[in-house]
Amino acid sequence: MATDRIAVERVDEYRWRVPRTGGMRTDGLIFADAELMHDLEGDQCVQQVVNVAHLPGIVGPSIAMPDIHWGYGFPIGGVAAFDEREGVISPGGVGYDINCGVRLLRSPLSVDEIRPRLPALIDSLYAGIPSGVGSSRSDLRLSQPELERVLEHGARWAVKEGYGSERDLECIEAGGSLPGDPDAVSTRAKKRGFAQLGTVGSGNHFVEVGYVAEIYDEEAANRLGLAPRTATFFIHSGSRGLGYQVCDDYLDTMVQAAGRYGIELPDKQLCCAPLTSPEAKAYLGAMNAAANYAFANRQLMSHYVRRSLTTIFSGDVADRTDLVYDVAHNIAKFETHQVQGQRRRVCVHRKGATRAFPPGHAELADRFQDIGQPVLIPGDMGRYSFVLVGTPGAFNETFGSTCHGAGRRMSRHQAKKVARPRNVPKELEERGILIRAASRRTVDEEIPEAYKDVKQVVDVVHGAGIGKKVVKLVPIGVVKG
Amino acid sequence: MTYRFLPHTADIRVAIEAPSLELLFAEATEVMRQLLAGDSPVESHLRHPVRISTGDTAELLLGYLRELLYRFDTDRFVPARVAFDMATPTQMAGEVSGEKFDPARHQVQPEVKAVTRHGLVVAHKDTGWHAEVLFDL
Repeated sequence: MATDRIAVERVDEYRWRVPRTGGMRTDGLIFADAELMHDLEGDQCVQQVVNVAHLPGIVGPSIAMPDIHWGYGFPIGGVAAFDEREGVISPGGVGYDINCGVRLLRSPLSVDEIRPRLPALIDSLYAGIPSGVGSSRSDLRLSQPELERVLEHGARWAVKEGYGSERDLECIEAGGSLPGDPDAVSTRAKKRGFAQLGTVGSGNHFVEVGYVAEIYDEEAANRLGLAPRTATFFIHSGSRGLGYQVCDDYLDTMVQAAGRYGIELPDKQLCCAPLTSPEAKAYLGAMNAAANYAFANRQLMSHYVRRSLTTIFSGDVADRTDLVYDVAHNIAKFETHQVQGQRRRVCVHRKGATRAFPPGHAELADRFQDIGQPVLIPGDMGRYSFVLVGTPGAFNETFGSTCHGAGRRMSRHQAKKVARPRNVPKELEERGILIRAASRRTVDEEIPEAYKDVKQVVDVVHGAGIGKKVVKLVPIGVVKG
Repeated sequence: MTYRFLPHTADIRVAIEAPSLELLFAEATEVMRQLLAGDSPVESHLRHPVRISTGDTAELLLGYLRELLYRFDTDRFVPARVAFDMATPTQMAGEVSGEKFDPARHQVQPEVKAVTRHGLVVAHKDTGWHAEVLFDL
């Protein structure tokens, strides 16, 4: 089949190959079923998979997950690994919202115990976690030294300040702390970060109350404490304005650097620098610092979720609400992988993709050694989300990566048009889902049908062996920006 | 002069037409007002000086819009209009007037994360200036 005149060959039920042609240094590999692949026709994201394959030092194929869509330079849902000596790093391969990610908490309560107090709980969450555009906290404004410590230590800073426990850190990718360099973060970026820690933001970000509705892998579900009808809290947010500014700043740097290092780019948005260059080192330090801000942000939001639980429910409910896992969706990291029989250190860019390490991986905490890394895949606000675990298949084929969500199928304009004559919050309430949002426009733009069915996306990665389904979660309450 | 939103699945893409460079920037200010406060009227109580110098006109427009977004994210400043001291294809200086975002009077909008170079076009034609900008949401 051809997607916008790009030849694509079907490999099997879930894999499509974009053969290397012209200046491509490697093939493209797209994970999708026939229907999802059909949806990509006319979308520029397949061209973006091809463009990424042109970059110097790329190792293995330019990979796209089934939730791929058109992004900035790199497609969203893209994974690409680069050799540590000959490869490059690109801010466009990470995205504006550095370490946009998700975390899941499970409570000791069942959905049946939560349901009678749900309106009060949702109101408390809405009041306790500022949401909406440019949202900020009046009760937590960081000083300059505090912000620097957040950028250096991430969620570890938050736990040290009393916002959570050491156990939480074991359940966060990279322990919630990457080697960030606060000095590589501009004054502008820092100014955007002083008052936004502990806030959700807007768009597709949310805090969601749900429950375990279906179990696919009983052993893994038991190990994660996800028994049937367990009430859960899903948090989706990132590095807020600080991360957006870091991306902006280093895109400017990389536009200059790409020319200086003679890197030919099929698209200016792929601007990048050799991993060995000072520009790359500065970006890595700043990106990791922004990632730390995001880890701390989600850690603080967990604290505010627990605070709401203390307010609404008596006893030790909050203390027994444990973190299941926290993963990044937008990040670049040095990792060691087997490539054509050889161990190689590569810089893996995941943009709208999730790390999915298999059982036994040395980077996982002991508690995940036998089941693999939990992978959290949010859907839309009206249907369901999924918890998966990482697999050897992902480690062998996709640099230990899998999908990250549903992906939009309707433009914001289309969604608003569809939603305008309707009362979406009332519709959701009739289906048992309470919603509180800072703006009607966000709710309209985020209607469930604006997104692909996340089950279809998850079934592809499960079928392809690059993720393994554990449980399905169904929402009962959502706080949105 | 005019602007219109172009189709895009995840983000916001805008095309702007204007007979002069000053009016192109005035229209870009209006686009930003729309993205930040919707259809709500915005008063001109506050003033911020703005001065940008770049290598080409596309980067000039990018720099200007980024400046407005930064002001909003840090000071909640919503622009209403711009007055120029000077505008050339590579430099601009002037004053942006507007007011602080007030949730009681202004419609809360989805967050604009960034102004991007993706598909960024600023071109001078016989009829005036044409620009296309993608905002990351």
